Amino acid sequence: MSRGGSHGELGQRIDYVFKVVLIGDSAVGKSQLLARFARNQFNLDSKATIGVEFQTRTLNIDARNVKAQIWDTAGQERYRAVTSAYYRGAVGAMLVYDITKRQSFDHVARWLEELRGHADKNIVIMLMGNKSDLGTLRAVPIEDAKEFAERENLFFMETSALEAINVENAFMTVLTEIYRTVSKKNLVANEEPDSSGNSSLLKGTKIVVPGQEPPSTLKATCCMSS
Amino acid sequence: MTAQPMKRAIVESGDGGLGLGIATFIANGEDLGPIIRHSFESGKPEALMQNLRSIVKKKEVEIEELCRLHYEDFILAVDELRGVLVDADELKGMLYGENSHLQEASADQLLKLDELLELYSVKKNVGEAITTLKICVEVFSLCMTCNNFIAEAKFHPALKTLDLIQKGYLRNIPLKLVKKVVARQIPLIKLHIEKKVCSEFNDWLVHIRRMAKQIGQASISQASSARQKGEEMRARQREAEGHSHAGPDEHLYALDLENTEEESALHFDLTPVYRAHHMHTCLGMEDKFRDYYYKNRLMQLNLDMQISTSQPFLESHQPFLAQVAGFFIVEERVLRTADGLLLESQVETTWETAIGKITSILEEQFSRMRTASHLLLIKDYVTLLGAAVNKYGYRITQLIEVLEKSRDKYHQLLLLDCRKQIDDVLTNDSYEQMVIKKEYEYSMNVTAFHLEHDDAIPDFPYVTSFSSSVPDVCRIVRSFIEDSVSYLSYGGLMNIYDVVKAYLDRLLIEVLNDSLLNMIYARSLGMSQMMQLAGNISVLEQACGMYLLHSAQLCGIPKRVAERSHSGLTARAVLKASQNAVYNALINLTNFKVDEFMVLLEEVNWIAEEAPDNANDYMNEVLIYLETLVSTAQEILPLEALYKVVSGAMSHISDSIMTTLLNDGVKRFTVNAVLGIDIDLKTLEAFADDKFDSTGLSDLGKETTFRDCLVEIRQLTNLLLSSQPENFMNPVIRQRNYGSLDYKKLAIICEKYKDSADSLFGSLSNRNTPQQSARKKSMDVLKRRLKDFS
Repeated sequence: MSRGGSHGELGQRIDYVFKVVLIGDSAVGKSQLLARFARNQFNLDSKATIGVEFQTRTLNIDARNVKAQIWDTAGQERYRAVTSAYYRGAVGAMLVYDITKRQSFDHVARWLEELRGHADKNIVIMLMGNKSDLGTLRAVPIEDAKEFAERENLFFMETSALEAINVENAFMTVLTEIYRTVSKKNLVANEEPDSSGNSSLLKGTKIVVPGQEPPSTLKATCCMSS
Repeated sequence: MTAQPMKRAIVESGDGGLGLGIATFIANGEDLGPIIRHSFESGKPEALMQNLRSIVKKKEVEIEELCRLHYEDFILAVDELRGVLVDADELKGMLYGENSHLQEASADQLLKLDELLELYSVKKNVGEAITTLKICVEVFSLCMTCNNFIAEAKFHPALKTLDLIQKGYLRNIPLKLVKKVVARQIPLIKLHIEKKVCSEFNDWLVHIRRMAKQIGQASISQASSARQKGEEMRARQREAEGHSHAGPDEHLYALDLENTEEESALHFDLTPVYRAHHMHTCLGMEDKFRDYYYKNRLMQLNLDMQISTSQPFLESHQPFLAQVAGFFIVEERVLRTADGLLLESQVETTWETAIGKITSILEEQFSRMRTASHLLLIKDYVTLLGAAVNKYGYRITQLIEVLEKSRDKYHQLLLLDCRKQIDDVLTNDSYEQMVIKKEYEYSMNVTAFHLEHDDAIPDFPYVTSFSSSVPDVCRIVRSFIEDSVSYLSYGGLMNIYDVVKAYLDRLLIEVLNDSLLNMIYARSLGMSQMMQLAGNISVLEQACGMYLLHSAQLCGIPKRVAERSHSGLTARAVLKASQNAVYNALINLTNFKVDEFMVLLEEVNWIAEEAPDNANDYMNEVLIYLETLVSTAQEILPLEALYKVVSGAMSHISDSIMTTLLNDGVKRFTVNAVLGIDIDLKTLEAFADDKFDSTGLSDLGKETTFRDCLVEIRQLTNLLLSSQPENFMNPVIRQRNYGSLDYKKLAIICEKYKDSADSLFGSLSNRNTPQQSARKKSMDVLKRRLKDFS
């Protein structure tokens, strides 16, 4: 039987490949977020939780074909710090915590420190409060997260992998911002041929408040990560 | 006539002898055969015949005699026989009567007897029929049993029953029709069983191929979990080792991993294989099935080995490798448990072929990769695959070798990436000392890399001795070390520390040092920036120790062992050489700057009528610059470098003044101009002495002071201002006071020296003092003698 590959990529020219890493405590739902985002393009027969795992999805931003390469630790963070190879070449990062577990939010600072210690300085970082569907069990007020994001110059969204709330938005925001950064660098390089093109772009702080979107009518049954 | 009677006499005499012998033989009842045979063989049968006839005649005579004697007895006997005959006839009549009587009496009994015999015949036939039917019933019963077994898919008892029918009953079935039907059905049923079993086996083939990926993934997942637990243990030991400084144990820790969690066994069902194999064995077709199994599994493997072309290998490699791993785990189980279905040599051959294919795929894919982390991702999965299948007895040497071959490629990609990062960091650095305002910043940029000797947290704001590129470079190098260790771990190498060190050296020499040299020679940095760069290089050179310890720690070598090791990084010496390069660049920059001010020498009035009261303008400018230079360098540069830079500047100033006096720009100069130079030098010498003391350089015990750098111009000035310049020609005085002066240079300069008496109005002046006259006279002597030398 032939494997159902991603037909969308056949014969399609890829303009950019952006590596984005998912980091955060264990069991905050990183893998579910990844599965939700990449579900239309990439279906694994079975879930392999071995080492670092990644999935890809090809998007269209400003008429450009952008391939998002999303890397997931797949539980590796439970044993030791994620290695620097995981961060190498990453242009974006999704820092995930669980809104029902205060500890996972308290650890965000540590994850941020590791990110800044290993990744590129200009990496685009999105703070994601997952499991927003469990509002009755909330342990992290949204104001706390907003304040932290403003202070640390991060993007912020609350998401629900279960109900597909803001997952697409979060990834698209990061990828679009990365695309803009890359485009600006190219523009600067074009405008000033003599310069090395290393202009330090001012990165504005954008707080994206989760909209009151109705959940998708086709509610997929997605079990919570253990 | 006399002759004939003699012949008869002789013959008769001989006959008499033979006859007696034969008669005796006959009387005794002996066998006459030998005698007769001998007689015929000797050719004399006539004599024997005569003797025999003679004996016959004698016997006949005896018989007649005997008959005559017994005549009377004979006649009596005949009479007696005739009497017996009469009695017999009488008895015969009596018997005949009895017989008739008996016949009449038993007529009824005879009819009954006939009936009885008929019934015996019927009984026999019925018995035979019953026997036949019993056999048929047994056969039919077995046939029904066989049918039931087949209906329930219990093929082995069905086959047993079939065999029983064939061997035990088929020959003995009395009914021909039944026998024929059964004989025809047996091979058909066997064929049916074979097809059924094959169909079931084929279903299993499809199923096991789908399952193989899961089996492989589960096995690789187990290997991954074991590895992660190992990492956790090592991390804990690293922490414990860091805390306990005074440990007597210098040996590497042996990890005693107690397997508290039982590994969940890989569950997959081989029953259809066992059944099919056994059934084919019972059917006498074991070889056929063995061949069928091997070929079909080989075809499946060949399909598994085709990698996806529509999908990048980075995305398809995990399912691909898991599929292959699962395939071979199944084969190993079949080999162990299926009782000769597979040969060990077959599995090994298949594995060698498969691993050869995998290695060639990996080599091709690795050669096309452009990102180090992708190569590392695949390498990790390949080593997990190796660990998983090695547990089942498969040799993974080729896998290890392909990773070894790709090691340089991986590190090349890493080095390329690091080069970009380091170039970026160095280019974007402002080369100003970092001002750290928070403890977090200090921790991230200083403590993390042990860039200060004291680990205590200072007061904030804190000014570092290095600029921001130093911690950034340290971060890049640390990532390189970690990525290098990540690739080399779980490979073939047992001790990866030396390899990591070699690659680290390459990074620091070929990438970092080259980038630093580029910055040095790029002429894009100003003086203070170049000084900061020098300071940075000094710190980076010291950081090599930290890199080594970090490498050792990641490679599992205890800190104390690494600290005691004497072999360091080659890069350290190279960076020190670059330090000298940057010092030279600093000297060049300084001298270049000094030249900008020394240009003002051209504005000096070399034929001044009066001695100046203050230093010339050029010297004021130079002193201001040098003041700034020293105060900045003092904060950043080590004393050795500071000494080199300032000494170089001083020497350069001295050389500049000498060069100016030697050049055509100055046609002539007067004693007043020399007096001006003297004032300049005194000012500069005062500066030099002050800085030499205040910077602490005097404590170093340097033989050459800053003032000593000005010795040439000082001696020249002293000579020109001397009342007896001709003393230069005195060897003792020259050695002591004018040792740095060159004959040729001095000759050129002295030619330009003009007293005011030689001016246009010299002859009219009457102000010559006796002292001036004496000096002029002495100078003329010196000029003349120097000319003679040249």
